[in-house]
Amino acid sequence: MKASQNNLRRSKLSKPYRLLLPSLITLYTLIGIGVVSAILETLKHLNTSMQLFSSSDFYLSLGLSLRLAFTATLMAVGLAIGLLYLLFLLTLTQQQKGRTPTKNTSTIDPSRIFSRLFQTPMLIPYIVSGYLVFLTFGQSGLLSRLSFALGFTDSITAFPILVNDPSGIGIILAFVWKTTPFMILMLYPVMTSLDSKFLDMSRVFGMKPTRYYWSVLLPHMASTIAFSGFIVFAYTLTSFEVPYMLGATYPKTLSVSAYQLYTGGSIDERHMALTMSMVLFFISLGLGYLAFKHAQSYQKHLQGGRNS
Amino acid sequence: MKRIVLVTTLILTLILSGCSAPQETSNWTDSSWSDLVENSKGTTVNIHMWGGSDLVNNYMDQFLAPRLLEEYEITLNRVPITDARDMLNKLVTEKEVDKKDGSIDIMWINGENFSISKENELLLGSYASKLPNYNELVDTTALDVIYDFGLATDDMEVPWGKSQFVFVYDSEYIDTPPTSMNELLEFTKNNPGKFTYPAPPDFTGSAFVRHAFIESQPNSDQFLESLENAELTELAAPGIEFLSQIEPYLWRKGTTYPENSGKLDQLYSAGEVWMTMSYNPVHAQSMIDSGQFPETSKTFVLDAGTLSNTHYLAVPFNASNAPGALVTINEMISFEAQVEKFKPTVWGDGLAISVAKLSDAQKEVLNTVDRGTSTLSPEVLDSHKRPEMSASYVEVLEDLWYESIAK
Repeated sequence: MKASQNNLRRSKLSKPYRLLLPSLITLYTLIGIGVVSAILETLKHLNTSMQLFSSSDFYLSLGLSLRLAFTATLMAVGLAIGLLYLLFLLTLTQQQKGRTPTKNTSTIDPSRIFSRLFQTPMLIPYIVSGYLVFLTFGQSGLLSRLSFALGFTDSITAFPILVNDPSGIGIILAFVWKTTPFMILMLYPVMTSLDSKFLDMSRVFGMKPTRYYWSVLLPHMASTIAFSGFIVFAYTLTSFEVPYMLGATYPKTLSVSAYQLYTGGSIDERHMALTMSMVLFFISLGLGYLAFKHAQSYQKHLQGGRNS
Repeated sequence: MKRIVLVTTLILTLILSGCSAPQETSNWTDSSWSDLVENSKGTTVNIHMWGGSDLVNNYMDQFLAPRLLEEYEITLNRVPITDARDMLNKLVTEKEVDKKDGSIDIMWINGENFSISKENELLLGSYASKLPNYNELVDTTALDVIYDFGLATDDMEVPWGKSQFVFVYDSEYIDTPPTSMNELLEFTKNNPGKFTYPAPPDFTGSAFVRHAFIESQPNSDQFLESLENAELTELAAPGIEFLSQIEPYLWRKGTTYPENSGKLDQLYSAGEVWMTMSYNPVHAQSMIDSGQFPETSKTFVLDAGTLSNTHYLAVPFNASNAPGALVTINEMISFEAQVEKFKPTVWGDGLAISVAKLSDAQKEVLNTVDRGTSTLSPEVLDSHKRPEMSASYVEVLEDLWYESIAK
């Protein structure tokens, strides 16, 4: 009797683990097999794979990939912090208008609506957003034609080159347009999760809302910013379709050269492409570790501050 | 608990069922044709082919598939792919692990992809002479049938159609199009920024670059011989010279090139450039008909000729349904299927079958096909054909282009 109760309890305890198992297996067999076989392939052809590291094109591509990913991530993070500040101000005005009586009734919160509006670009696939950037910012695109029609430029080719440019402006535009909404999706709930007592308290001490945002809300969101910033970085670093559509013929990002080597080169060159992907994979892995460590120590730092 | 086990098993089964049970494969080499037709009844044939053209896809789905179902009870499953190389990569891996029941029954390839398939023994074997229509309708001695980009086909693939490279221009801006590469250079000097070509390894861009190599080299016939890499690089030197001469007058001054021919077509539709190009002589007409190209678009070939090639159908070594594949391919080179494909509103692809082998009645049917005002006549096209060079050179020349021009 007792034993069966014990069994029951144990099975209850392990139930969530068992339920998670199928998805974990799927996740790790599909991705794990790919990663392991890519590493094995690289090791099998170690000599030719190492040739990669003596080619200047490789470093140029890697540099471009890193630069684009860093720029896009920084811009997306900055933009998201700015937009969240505006959303925060919107919440304040709403609260002041509503004051106490309506506080708990279901009035429509405009900041919630706006945060949803900012999130809508997430519904559009990357490849489509790349195409939208091309149609909007290309020399025969919407803006160029508009500025020509209004007489700002003499011909459509006088419009500045914003897509397929060697510095990757078009790629960054597409990335920022797609990833800022993701940042807001991640950060908005965190921002609104902080108890409003903190705000009241800051008022008591005479803190201005702007100051409250920067020195209370922002540190509260810091680890989420680090994490979602890392996700954005890892994605943009390895993204293929946007740099393929909006990049220049030379230099190419590492993902585009890996793809072209894999599909266009001879069969012997396939493992070079895999090595390139592995380089990107390990950079992401390393940065993910750093982001995790940073968030952890920051959390400790915050807790330490509270205790003292 | 039981339910969870059940669900887990179910999920695992779903994952693993990617490797489906093999269909019964009979030995195609010993069977007679009527046996093959009989054996393929009620089976499914998986054809893997580039799916980037609505015209081609519609032809397959709306003409060929119903026809096969009605006449041979074969269900045709078209699997669209973006790059034949993915398919070959898959077959190489399947060969490594000795997978017998492959998911591909027919693949649409030529040139480099055929040479890779032949080299790595990814093909079923010499099956062409098994097909009645191949023996009756195809000119089995023609060089552009038995040599695919300089490599002997050895009956391992069957021609499905032919195409030829043409340039497209907008007659609203250009009165007389250039007739040689040098005139093209003059044209770009007079109209800077109005011409460009897709960056190799794009198929069309790569073909344009080969024209430059061939025309700039007075001894261009040497490109058809067997060459060492060093010899090839030397032969290509005048072409590189030409391509770097033209570069400053290209769209964006040659700092970047459209990544594929679709992008070039788009620049042409938007009026950013005045010329585009295609390896299909009726491509311009179909783009006009669908409203994507201006009505004033016309096509031209160079006086010295433009490259032409044949595209083929091959069966992988591990096809699950070889009899069905053979019957399907035989139907694809039947007179009816070929004429339908020749119509510009359908696809406009060149005939793989020989006109000389047709009956008078069939010739008459063929003459009624109208290929549109922007399309050059078959006579003009035929008299301006150049053979393709060996597929193994294509990659060397692409690399050369990348090193000397793109950088």
